[in-house]
Amino acid sequence: MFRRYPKAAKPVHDMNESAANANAKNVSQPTRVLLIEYCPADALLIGGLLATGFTVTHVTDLGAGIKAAHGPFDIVLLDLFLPDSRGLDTFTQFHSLHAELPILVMSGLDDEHFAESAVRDGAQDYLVKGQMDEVLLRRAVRYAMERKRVERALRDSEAFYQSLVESLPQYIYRKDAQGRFTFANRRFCVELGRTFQEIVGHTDYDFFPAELAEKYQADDQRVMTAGKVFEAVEEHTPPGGEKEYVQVVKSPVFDAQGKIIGTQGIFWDVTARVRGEEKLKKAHTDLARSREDLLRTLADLQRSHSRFKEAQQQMVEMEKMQTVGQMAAGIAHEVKNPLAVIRMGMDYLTNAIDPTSNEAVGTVLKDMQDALHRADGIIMGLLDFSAPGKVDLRPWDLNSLVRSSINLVKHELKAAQITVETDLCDNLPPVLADANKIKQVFVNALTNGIHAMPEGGRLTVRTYIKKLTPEEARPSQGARQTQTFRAGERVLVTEIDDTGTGIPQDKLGRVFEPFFTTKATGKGTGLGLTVSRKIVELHEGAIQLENLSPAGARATITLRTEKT
Amino acid sequence: MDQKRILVIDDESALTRMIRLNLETTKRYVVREENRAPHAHTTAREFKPDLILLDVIMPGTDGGELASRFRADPALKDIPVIFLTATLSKREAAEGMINGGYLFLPKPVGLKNLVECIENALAAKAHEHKHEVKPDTEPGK
Ligand SMILES: Nc1ncnc2c1ncn2[C@@H]1O[C@H](COP(=O)(O)OP(=O)(O)O)[C@@H](O)[C@H]1O
Ligand SMILES: [Mg+2]
Repeated sequence: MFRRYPKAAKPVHDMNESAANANAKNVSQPTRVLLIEYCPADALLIGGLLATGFTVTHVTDLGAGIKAAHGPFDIVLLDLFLPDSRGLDTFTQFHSLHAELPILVMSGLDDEHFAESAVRDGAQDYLVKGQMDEVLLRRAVRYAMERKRVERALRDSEAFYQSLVESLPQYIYRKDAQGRFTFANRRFCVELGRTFQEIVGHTDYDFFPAELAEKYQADDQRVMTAGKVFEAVEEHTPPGGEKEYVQVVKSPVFDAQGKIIGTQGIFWDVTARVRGEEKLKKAHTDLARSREDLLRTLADLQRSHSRFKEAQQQMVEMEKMQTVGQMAAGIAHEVKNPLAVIRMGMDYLTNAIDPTSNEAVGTVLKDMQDALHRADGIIMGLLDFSAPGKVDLRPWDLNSLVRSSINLVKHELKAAQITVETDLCDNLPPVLADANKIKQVFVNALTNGIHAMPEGGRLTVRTYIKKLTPEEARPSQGARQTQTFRAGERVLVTEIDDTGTGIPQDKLGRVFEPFFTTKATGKGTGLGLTVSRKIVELHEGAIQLENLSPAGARATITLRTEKT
Repeated sequence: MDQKRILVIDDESALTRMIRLNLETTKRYVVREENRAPHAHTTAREFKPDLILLDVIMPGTDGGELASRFRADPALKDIPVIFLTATLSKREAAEGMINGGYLFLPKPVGLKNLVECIENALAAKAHEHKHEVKPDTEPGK
């Protein structure tokens, strides 16, 4: 049922067709037209109008048209009133089966509204029969084709962007100035668990907790007013889930005039990245911390090592002292018995022989008596040293104790031509002391000073009270733990200075050792300072020995005052 | 004047001999030496001393133990005991002289000091005794 119209002998050069003719295909080939027209007169007319530059295939009903349209056509001219279909339905049927073809609808003057409806539904244009001339028809055909081509291109490009937006692994949306969603990609829809229709026109408040929605809207507002891109990593914890991190980029949407009309956002899950970073950071801080721990442990170790060494030294010294103490007690017992025999023997001899009868016998007995006395003195010192520690602490006037101690050594002072200067502080509170024992300490210190000045010199004895600084309250290096001064405590200090030889620096650490002496036999036992320290410790006090410049030494004895 | 009987118990025989010789020079004492601590108790019962001089530390038996055994013995319990000690310093001996009713004398002790001490102890004993027997002497008054 095809009626073919002859090909155009020569191409028609119509300036109005140039847009359509820009298509290279149309330059070389005639435009292929499928004409679906029942009215033979109209068909004839149209065929005539399209005589040049077109090949027109004519069918008379819709069924044939639909079939014919499978062939290669560039455009369809469709009359809406056909034997097998009438009105808009004609277009709808055809268009649904051949959406790819540009369609130019033809109508009569009185059924133009059908044609208009067809155009709204996808026809490219319509022509009113009886009003068309060659130029109009040709132009309409060309424009319809062009419009279809643009429409196709647009659809392609839209499809491109849509597939881009939909296939991106990001969540994408747009909102208007009021914060209503105008677009949401599929991913975003799925994330919200809503369809596109359920999202568009709604705001964040419809999908998120109020607090969160508020924040989102505030961010949007910021983007709108600043007109700038907002970027952030936001965290949120889905109910019952683990904390998630989302990278958000929000930017303003402008209209053609450059006015901001809304916002668009794109966000994506960066939980893995943030976790990784966190892990890295944690590993880093862990490392730093373990390094710190290590250093701290090292410092602790060093501290405890030195403390251990100190304790060890103390223990060695204590053991030494204990051994010495036991030894002293043993020696005292062993020596005292023979001494007792000698003593009794000498008493017997003194009675039996008249010492006045023989001067020599008298001298011998006297010398023996002296030697016995000295031996007894040494033994006594040993016993003092080994005696179990007990002190009878009572309040005493410190200055009186000092004066009576000086008095005890007055013969030695005189013999060695030593002057004594005292600088004793008045109104001192009473010292808590065992008077005899503290006097023993003072006497030993004075005696040491005297021995250090064989050519004579000066002893200066000073007493005063002072408040201990925290530095002074701390037990001095090597001091034993019995000294328990507190910072701010008021203590009584006695200083005994001499102008003697001083102590060789390398011996200074040893002067408190039992039996350490630099003195000739008979002059020193090396127990003086050992016993002194023991006594002072029983007083919970302290004793120190230091060199003075330019010469001499100072013994400092620190004692407690009565507790108030 | 009656001679007082003194028992000297010490493992050092030279010392007990010296003490005996010295005390005998005064002619006021009869002295018995005992150098064997284990025999001391028997010797004391047999010798019936007026006073005992006792060494604190002796091999085998220590003086303190011996003294408490004397105290437990009715025949010996009232006899004054003076300890001779080598371990106490003079001052400690002076300060804590009477410990548990005993007298302590640090070695070495001179004769003068020893005699003083013995006499004091005997006098104290006599005084105490006088007080004790007072009720008995009442009828004769
Ligand atoms: N004031 C001092 N000047 C010089 N050396 C001193 C002084 N005090 C103590 N020493 C030294 O300390 C040593 C020990 O003293 P100490 O324990 O009293 O024993 P001793 O006096 O029997 O030697 C002395 O031998 C002496 O070397
Ligand atoms: Mg000394």
